[in-house]
Order: sequence, then C-alpha cells, then structure tokens
Amino acid sequence: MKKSTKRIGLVIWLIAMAWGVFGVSQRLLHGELQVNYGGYIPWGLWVVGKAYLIGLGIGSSLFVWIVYAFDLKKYFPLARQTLFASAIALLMGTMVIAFDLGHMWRALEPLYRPHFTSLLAWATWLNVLYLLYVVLVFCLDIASKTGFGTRRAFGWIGIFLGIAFSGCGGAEFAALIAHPYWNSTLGPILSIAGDFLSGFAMVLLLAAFFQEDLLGSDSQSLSQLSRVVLGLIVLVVVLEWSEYSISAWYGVGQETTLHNDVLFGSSWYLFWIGQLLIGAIIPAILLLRQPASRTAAGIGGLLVAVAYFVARYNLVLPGQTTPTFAGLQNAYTDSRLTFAYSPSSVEWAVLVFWVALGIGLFIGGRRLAPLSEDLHLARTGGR
Amino acid sequence: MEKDRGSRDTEGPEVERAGKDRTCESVRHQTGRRELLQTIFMGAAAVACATFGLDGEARASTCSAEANLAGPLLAPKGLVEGNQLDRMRHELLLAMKKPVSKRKWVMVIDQQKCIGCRACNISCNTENNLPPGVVYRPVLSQEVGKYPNVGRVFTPKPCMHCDNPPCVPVCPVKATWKREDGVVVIDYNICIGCRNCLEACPYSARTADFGDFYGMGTPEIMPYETRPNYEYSKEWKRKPNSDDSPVGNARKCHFCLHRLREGMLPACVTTCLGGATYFGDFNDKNSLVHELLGSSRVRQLKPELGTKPSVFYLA
Ligand code: SF4
Ligand code: SF4
Repeated sequence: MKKSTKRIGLVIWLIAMAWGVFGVSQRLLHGELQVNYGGYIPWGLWVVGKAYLIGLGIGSSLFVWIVYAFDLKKYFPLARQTLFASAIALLMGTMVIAFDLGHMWRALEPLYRPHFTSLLAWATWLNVLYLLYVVLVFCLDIASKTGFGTRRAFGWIGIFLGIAFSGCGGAEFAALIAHPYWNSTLGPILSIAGDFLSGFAMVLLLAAFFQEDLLGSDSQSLSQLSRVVLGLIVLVVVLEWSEYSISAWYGVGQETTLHNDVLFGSSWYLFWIGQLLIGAIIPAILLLRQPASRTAAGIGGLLVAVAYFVARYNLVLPGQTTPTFAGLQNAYTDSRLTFAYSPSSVEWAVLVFWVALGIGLFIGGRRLAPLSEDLHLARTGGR
Repeated sequence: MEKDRGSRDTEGPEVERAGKDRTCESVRHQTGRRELLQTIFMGAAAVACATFGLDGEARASTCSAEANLAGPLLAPKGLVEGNQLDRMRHELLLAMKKPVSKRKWVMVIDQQKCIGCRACNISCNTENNLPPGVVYRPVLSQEVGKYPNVGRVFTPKPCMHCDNPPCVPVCPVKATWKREDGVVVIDYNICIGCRNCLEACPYSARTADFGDFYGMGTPEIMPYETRPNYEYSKEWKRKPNSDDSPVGNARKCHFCLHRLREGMLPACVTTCLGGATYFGDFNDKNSLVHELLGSSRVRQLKPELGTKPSVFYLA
C-alpha cells in the first residue's frame, strides 16, 4: 500500500475513534437516554451491528473449518489471519450487543442463570463458546500444535458449532410470532447462507489485500475463492427471491405489505442499491473475471462484506415498523412509542467505535502476531 | 359482606324498574320548583326532538334519559358504578383468602361502555409513576364505518396476561414468568434489558424504561417524578442518570399486584369512568367476571395466535 494511502487511512481511523470514544462515553455516562430505539422499535442499530459483526466472524471462521475439515491445503496459509479477524469480529459484535442491553453490567447473567427455552440464552452460550473456540484454535495454530490430524477434528467441530450458532442467530428472529416479517422458516437458512457469504467475502478481501504472498504466487486459489463467493451471492439472491416472490405472488397477506415496504417504501434504495446493486450485481461482475485479478477480487469481497450490513439492517428494522394494532401509534403520545426509527448519532458513534477498534486491532495485530506463516510448511500441514 | 351483596341485588332491579316507568308524561305532572325546571328542560328537549327530526326511538330515549335527571338515585343500574366496584372488591377479598394457586385473575373490558376517556391510562401512569416511554394501558381508538355511518371503538390494551405467553420462554435469564394466579410478572433485579420479550409480545404490551424523565432538559426535575412506586410490593425509586432498576428493564402491566395484596382493585378498574373494566377471580363461579364471560359478546385479541389471553373484551 502507498504511504499516502496509509496516511489517509490513519487519519480516517483516528477521526472514527475520536467520534467513537465520544459515543461510548455518552453511553456509559447517560445510559440509553440518547438512543432512538424505544418501546415499539426495541431493537435498533446495535442489534443490526451485532448480527452483522457476529455473522462476519462466524462466516469467516467457517471458511477455516471447511479448509481444515476437508484438508484444502492450498488455503492453509489463510487460516491464521482469518481466525484472527474472525475472533476480532466476534468480540466486537459481542461488545456492541452488550452496549445494547438496558443493564449492560448484567450481560453475563445468561451464562450463569440461563433459561434454555430462550434462543437468546443459547445464542449467548454459543457466542462465548464459539469465541473461545476460535481463540483456542488460533493460539494452538500459532503455537504450532495443531498437527494435520488435529486440524481435521478442529475443522469438523468448528463446522458444527459455527452452523449451530449461525442458525440460532437466525432463529432468534424467525421464532418471534409477533413479527410476520421475521416469522419465517427460511429465516435460519437465510442467516446461515448470509453468514457464509459475508464471512467468505471478508476472507477474499483479506486474502487479496493482506496476503499478497499467497495469492501473488497462486492466482488459481484466488479464482476459486472468487467463484465460491460468487456462488454464495447467487444462493443468497435465490433465497431472498423465494422469500419475496412467494408473498408477492397473490399480493395478499401481511408479509406482502411488509415486503412491499422494503422494496418500494421510503427506504427502497437500501434494498435495490445497497443490497442488490452494491452487494450482489457489481461484485458478481467483478468476481466473474477470470483469471481473477487481485484488485477486482478484493474490491468484490469488500463490497459484498460491507453491503451485507444493509441486508442486516433490512432484516432487523422493517420487521418492527408495522404496528401490531391499527392506531397503536396514536394511542399514546411519546417519542419512544412510535414506529419510525433512525439511529441517533450516539448509536452510530458506538458502532463506529467498535468497528474502528476492531480494524485497529487487526492491523496492529498483524504487525505483532505472526499471522503469515511459511507458505510451504502451511500447505503441507507440517510445522 | 354476603348481606351487602343481597341488599344490592334487591335494590338493583327496583332502581331499573323505576327508571323505566318514568315517562315524559309523568314528569310533566309533577309539581314543585325542581319539577318546574325539569318540565322546562323536557320541553326544550321535546322542541329539539321536533326541530332536528329525531326518529321515534331516539326521541323516546332522550325523554327517558332526561326524566332520570329528576332523581339521581333512580338512575339505571348500569350507571351506578359503586355497586359493581363494591361487588368486585368483595370478591377480591374472598379470592385473596384462597391460596395463590386457587385464584385466576381475569379482566373484562366492555367496549360498549368504554367512552375512550383514558382515565384508566392516567391512573395507571400515576399509580406506577410511569416515566416517559413506558405505558401499561394505552387506549386504542378506531373509527369504524364510512361517513355518514361512522362510529368509534375504544380498546384499552393492558398486558393480556396470556396463559400461553410468548414473552416468557424468550427471556434468557428467566426474569419474567407466569404466576400461579395467572399474572405474568417481571423481576426487575434479574432482567438484563435485552428487550427480547418486547419483540416476542404480539400485543406490544411491554415497553422499556430508558431512564427518561419528563423534566429532563428543564431547570428542575419535579419531586413527583422521583417519588418511588410500589410495583410488586417493593419500593422502586428512579433517579436521573442512574441505571438502577427499573431503569433499563422491560416493564408492563402487572394487574396492580401490590394493590391486590392490600385488598384494592387495580387502579384502572376503580377509575374507569364508564364502568367498563371488570376484574376478578375466574375460579369463583359466582364472581362478576365469571358471569360476564358467559356473554355471547366475549372476544379476545388475536385469538388465532394461541396465546390464550386473560383479558377479555365484550364487543
Ligand atoms: S400480552 Fe404480551 S407481555 Fe402480556 S403476557 Fe401476553 S405476551 Fe406477555
Ligand atoms: S428484557 Fe428482561 S424480562 Fe424481557 S426478555 Fe430480556 S431479560 Fe427477560
């Protein structure tokens, strides 16, 4: 990377951190006074951020588990860096959701007072277990203790845990009968597919821009990874299509109204421009290029990974914007009892803080931790 | 107390009969100053009836309503709310003598009697000292029909205290549960404020306490905002810029459990101007609520969800 680009990046990062520190301090000093979610839209930007960051963490680590489980040696060199990024994403997602709690100091209560009928209790347990698991494998990897046979076992356990955690995240929404927009059997499947997509896109981005040694010497690996991401884009688009088209076919029912609102309501651009154009069409064009160019693959991965935030936003928010009863919004006048929501600056600042901190940790960690390993040794699995 | 009920029961029908027997004609034949005033009033009503062309039925009801003004004690039974409150209070005391598991609290709301005054909403806010953003009993107001044939339906909407409550299993820390007497409660000291239960409730009956005060941004937060409330028979004191519970918690109607314990009806029941809200023990077959639930007008909100609400409406 050029020096000037690095300098611009550093300045942006410092501004983001400064703003983020302001937001975090406001949250810590004044609690939830400065958030815009309320009684009728109880989940706002921080829930979106959590779903997104945790999804990135799960999806990217699933890449490593698959590589390990199926012994895909040529991708071994990506594992360490990917696990590091995954752990950071999971940790940042966890912190964001802790800030969302009315009592953030009670965040660990579901661990020692779990109510296992609750998917949220399961998600909390899986969150902690999964994060520890990723950190454990990462540490073992660095300590060079994961020999070939163990890698395979770690891979299979990781696949099981990762899919369970991802599905649980989707089911958290899908099981809520109060919200027809979420209450869909496709929810957990879409969540798993989405986590795979965003996570693999992040791996592609990291591989293209941060692991030049690997992909510089092996453009075939990059092409294959690009094709996998392309396949995942198609899968997610097909799932989204089936979700939307079924309700639209006869044009009746509550889901139809909700879906129409996403597609043609005041925030139509989130779906058409954010999700579809930036998150699927442009990356698909970039990833179709064969043989893959590092820049095209990296930008494609970046677009998919970033635009998936919009998909998460479009999952969490529209599910809550329709009153459960006609006229509920007029029954009691209060700024927190409305069905309109746009995140406050403090909400954005807190999210930006954790994302910027995560990026800082990743870049700093890359310098300190031995994230790149000897290519030949990594590929042969021998250390 | 039984005697009380008996005496009310004999008084009731008489009152009703007296009200019905009075006609415009009989009022006109009474003498005295009061009657004279009444006669003038009735005359005006008759002129109004003729002028505005009310049909026969409407005119008759106007006349009989005016006739009742002559003696407030002779008002129709339904308008004397003291009776139904006394009866419900009496039944409440009987129920409180039973073990918790033997009672089943239900609420019945007569939408034909609800006038949409929101007195219940206000009294609930006052009783529980609710801050901004928290509401336990909003009153929905819905226009029905098309002009010129329009009407308005009011739906006070507390927590339904569902028998199959979707809000309970979603709580990750078991901070909310259904008591044996049917009341769904929240332990503020356990609740972590994840608001999962708010999302799970199909009735939007739960809101969350974000620590707001009406006086925030003004020179002073008034003492009435920081006085404690006594939900669940404990003292809860909210302080500005503090996240001590109930700030940060999910909050909702609890059928005024703290009042029931003291032998008092829920605040919304005692303050209902239209006498539209009934409360009692459904396990008591002689109770007023049990009687009302035998009506063909009974309905529930969103019954198709299978939540089995304990709040019923008389449509
Ligand atoms: S109305 Fe809502 S909050 Fe009340 S018991 Fe039913 S689901 Fe729970
Ligand atoms: S907000 Fe409180 S009561 Fe509701 S689900 Fe979360 S912890 Fe349970």
